[in-house]
Amino acid sequence: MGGGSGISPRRARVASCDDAEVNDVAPLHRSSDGRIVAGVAAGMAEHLRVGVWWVRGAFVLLTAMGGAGLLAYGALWVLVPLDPPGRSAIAAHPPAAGRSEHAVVPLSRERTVALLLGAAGVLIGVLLLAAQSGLDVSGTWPLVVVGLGAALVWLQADEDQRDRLRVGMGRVAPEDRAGALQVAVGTVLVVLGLLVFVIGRSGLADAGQLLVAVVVVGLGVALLGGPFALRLLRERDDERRARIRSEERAELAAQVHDSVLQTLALIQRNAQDPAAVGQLARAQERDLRRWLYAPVPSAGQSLRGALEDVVAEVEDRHGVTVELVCVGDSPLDDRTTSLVQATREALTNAGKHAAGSAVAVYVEVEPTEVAVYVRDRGAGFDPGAVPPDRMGIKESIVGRMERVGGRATVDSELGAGTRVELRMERSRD
Amino acid sequence: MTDAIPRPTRPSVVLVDDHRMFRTGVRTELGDRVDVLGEAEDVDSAVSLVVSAKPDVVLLDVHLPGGDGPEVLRRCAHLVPDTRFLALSVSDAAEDVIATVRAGARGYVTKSITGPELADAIDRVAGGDAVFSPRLAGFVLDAFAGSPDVPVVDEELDRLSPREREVMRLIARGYTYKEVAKELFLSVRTVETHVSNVLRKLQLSNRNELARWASDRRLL
Repeated sequence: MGGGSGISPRRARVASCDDAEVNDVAPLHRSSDGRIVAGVAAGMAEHLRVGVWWVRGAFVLLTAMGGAGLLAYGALWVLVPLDPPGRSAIAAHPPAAGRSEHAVVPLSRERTVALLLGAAGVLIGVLLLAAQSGLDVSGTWPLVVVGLGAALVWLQADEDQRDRLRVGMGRVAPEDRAGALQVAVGTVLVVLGLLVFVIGRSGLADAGQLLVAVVVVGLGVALLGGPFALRLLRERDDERRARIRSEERAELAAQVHDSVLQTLALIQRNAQDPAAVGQLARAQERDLRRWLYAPVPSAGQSLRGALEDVVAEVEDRHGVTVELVCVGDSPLDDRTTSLVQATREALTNAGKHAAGSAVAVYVEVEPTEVAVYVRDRGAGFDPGAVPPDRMGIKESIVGRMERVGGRATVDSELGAGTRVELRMERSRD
Repeated sequence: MTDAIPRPTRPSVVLVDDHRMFRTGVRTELGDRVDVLGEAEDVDSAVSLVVSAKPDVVLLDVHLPGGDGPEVLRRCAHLVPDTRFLALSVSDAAEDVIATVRAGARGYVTKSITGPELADAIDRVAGGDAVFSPRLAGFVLDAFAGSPDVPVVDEELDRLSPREREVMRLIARGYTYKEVAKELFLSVRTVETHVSNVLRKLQLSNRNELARWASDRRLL
């Protein structure tokens, strides 16, 4: 069970990720799934295909026999990488939600057990070592505390590494507070242990001087290392910011490619046809505008959304510019749907007979009434000499409105355009 | 808006927009109806150009690099009391439009406006009147909608008179001032007065809806 046989790098390298699946022999790694302290035992159990508690038991036993288990564990922790390349826990467990449920939740409960176990192992090992060499056992207690504290801090550092990986994959952010607490407790333990150790060794008087020296050295280290640490932190922030920016950029690029670039290509192909170019540009403008200014599409749900769709349809089909102004909004029901259809008829009419000029639609939703005004500045017509084909259109506006208890007036003058007014009482609900 | 008051002199204009193509287009469309003194493409250059050239009218884009249109207004409107600002934008977002008007612009037109209409609007703004596009009129009606549960702090500023509301409705329906005047049996001058009063209310009112538009909606 010594560390030597397991960490043969060649063997780990030979078993590539595909081989690992085929041969079912995992290369030696530290497992992040089901680990307790650093995943050494879990990884080794997977590698040797034995029960994980056998490995753990062996480590504890070896620790009790002169501390070898502890040494081996520490060495493996440092030397063996967390999760083998290409066979990361993510690849092994594709559904992210399932994985976090499976691995992360039991981990925290297990970790408390593990820490107790580890502490027991450390204590037994150290005390036995001390007793064997005939040392005064009581003097080494502070060192045990120091070891515990250091282990806590190191565990958290290891965790951070994994979390960064997880965040990079777009997973949930690490539980920062628990991590910070762990580091704080570890730090306090280390400092306390060192203090007690120093005081116990050299007495209170000397300890004071020693403490001053330590503080001075600590300050020196902070002065020298501080800027470096700050720079590392800043670089990490920069990196994160750059990543967010590049993601936003990718989304924008996708949108621009799907819409604007496609439209530009179409426009180039249709360069000979001004009407088609105008129509394409207008449709694209509407598209982009909706994307930029109205992230939540309301079409199909509200009167306003339905009217926007109708306006878009008429603009595309007849090559006119329709300016839609809405004041208020109302939910879409059978009656307001009729209103929308009547508006569409009026707009189609305007599109046919007012080509090239602007059409204005004004919608006002009042507490008791909905009103739609469609107005064009096209050729207009003489209401006294209505051609038969216009009768049908007029019928589909006026008739439709009257069927739902509304009314419509169509007013036109030759050379001065047409005005259509649709009014309807709002349904009570 | 083909019923502008004829002015003895051509108004001088500064164009502020970050798209050179657009500035060139506007310059061409306006032709010789205005006297273009210069162009600027961001907030800093706009402020220094407006302060030094002192034009009659600044055509101001709502979105600019280095801060937006309202920023230009805040920084130089008080230095050039005789200069008037007309917001010109592709933005349909109510909060942008309202913010620019509340910062002091005398009106708002969308970039889809035709050349002659824009020239008329510039004439009108240069003459001290307000210019409301149908869209701005729609926003105003929305903001001053008479819902009874909205507390009215200042009766004079927080409400539109029935006449003002009618004028806004017709403008929202795409009527020119002249057509509004004809429809309501008023003089064009009276319509202009109503519109200017509405502009003043829009700029000074503390109605909840306006405050919301000017600030909160930006966060959404």
